[in-house]
Amino acid sequence: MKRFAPLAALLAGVIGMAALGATALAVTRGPSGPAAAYASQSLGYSVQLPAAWRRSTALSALVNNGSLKVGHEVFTVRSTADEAGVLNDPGPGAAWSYVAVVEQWRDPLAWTPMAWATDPLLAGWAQGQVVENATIDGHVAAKVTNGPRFSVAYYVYDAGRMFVVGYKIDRPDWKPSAATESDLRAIVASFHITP
Amino acid sequence: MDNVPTRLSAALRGTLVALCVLTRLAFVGTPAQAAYGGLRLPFPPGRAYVITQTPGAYQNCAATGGSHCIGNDIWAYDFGLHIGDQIVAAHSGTVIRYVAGFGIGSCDPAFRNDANYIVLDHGDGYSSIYWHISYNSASVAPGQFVAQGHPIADAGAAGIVCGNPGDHLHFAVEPTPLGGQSATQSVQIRFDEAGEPALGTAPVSANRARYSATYVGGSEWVVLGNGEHHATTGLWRNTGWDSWSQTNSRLGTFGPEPPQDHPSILTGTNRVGQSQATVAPGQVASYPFELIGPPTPGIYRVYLRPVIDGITWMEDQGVFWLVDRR
Repeated sequence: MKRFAPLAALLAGVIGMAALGATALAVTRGPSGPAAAYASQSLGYSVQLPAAWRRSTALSALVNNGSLKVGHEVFTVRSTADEAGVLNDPGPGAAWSYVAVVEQWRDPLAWTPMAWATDPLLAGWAQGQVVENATIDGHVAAKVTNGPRFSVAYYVYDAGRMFVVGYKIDRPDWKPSAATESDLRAIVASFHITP
Repeated sequence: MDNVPTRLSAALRGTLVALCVLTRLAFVGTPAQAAYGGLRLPFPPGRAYVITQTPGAYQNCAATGGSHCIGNDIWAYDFGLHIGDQIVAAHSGTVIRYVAGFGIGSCDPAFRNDANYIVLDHGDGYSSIYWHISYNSASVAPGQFVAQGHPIADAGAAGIVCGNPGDHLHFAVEPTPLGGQSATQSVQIRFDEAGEPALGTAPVSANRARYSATYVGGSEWVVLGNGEHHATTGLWRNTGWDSWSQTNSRLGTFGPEPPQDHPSILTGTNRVGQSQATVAPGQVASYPFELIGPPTPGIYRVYLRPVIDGITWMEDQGVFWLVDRR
């Protein structure tokens, strides 16, 4: 029995990877644990936040400068005090690592998600990024992995707006102890555009 | 401010260096290490900009609380470039990260992820990073390889910048970030023309010009009879940041013999073309031509200087071919 354990583990891993692969491009699942709904009145969407996750008031902002970007909201597992301790780190900063982010941009020309995600000026560009067709919240989307601003980001269009829904993991040593990538994935997967 | 180098007396500079060393020992305590070199200042040659923040290692961080005192940026430099000032490549490299779609930033950490920046992979495990560039000002394309001195973008104030408008260039060299990383830990650096410049100084850039040439070889002393032909080739290295094209790269005549851009009695022409279709920075261009023995005996010279047709003459290094017509 014991000698089959590695095989069983391998099979479990393969099955797990297959399950991940199956959901990677058709994101339909929300958090598996206790979750609280967060609905954004200003940006017009909702997400499910796993226990201990919260909207960061320090990192969320509306832009209001006439640019295409309307604003963004950031979700973190750090406590307010913990976040404050790293808030003014230079560079990308620990406060911005292991966070989920929802951005809303104006899209008056109705660019498709794929066109937006692959435009270097609108979305940026990073060597090795992977861009794929995807679905999120029942909408056609473009998924960018290892892009210049997010570890994973989905671009989804709705009624003159482009949403960018993703998460950032910059450095493992910036990981808050309670943060997990599966929580980040779950928050992103729970994204829902509200009327 | 631009083009105005600030010169410090040797004594003051020495004092500053001593202070820097003491500061570093007192507040950081890290051992000296070999600084990453081969860099030139990240703005066009002849320009000078004030160092507005040094690496944290050279600050009294307990007093300044500077943004280069912790985290990734402890070996970064801030240069006092203003919005629209040209940033150039401090080192040759390939564009591996590119964000240029944001406008003016602010001191609010909420906009940390809205910074415009470009990363150049040097190909040796390290990359240079240029932060806060202006919206849509990039002079490079994703994946493009650029030579040292090549324009990167215009300076700006995107991302986390404090002040009004807070424009500057934040520059650092880091181990090349892996996929999914926007930045890594900066390393100690030194610039070829300025070493590790001190706060408040304004080192003058000696970065590469767009067109620059250095003589490699080919100059000859040739003995010829009347009307006798001799095939030869001039060799110049492209030491600028732009490539030379066969369509406009020439070797021209230059004074005193004959007068500049006049046909030489030895060649019958004023300009000869480059043999290669393209000569990239660092490569050597060949200019083949013939020397022809003049009718009258004597010693003749033809001075030569490379030129990009319609754009500029490159450096005059006093190169000439000599013909002894016997």
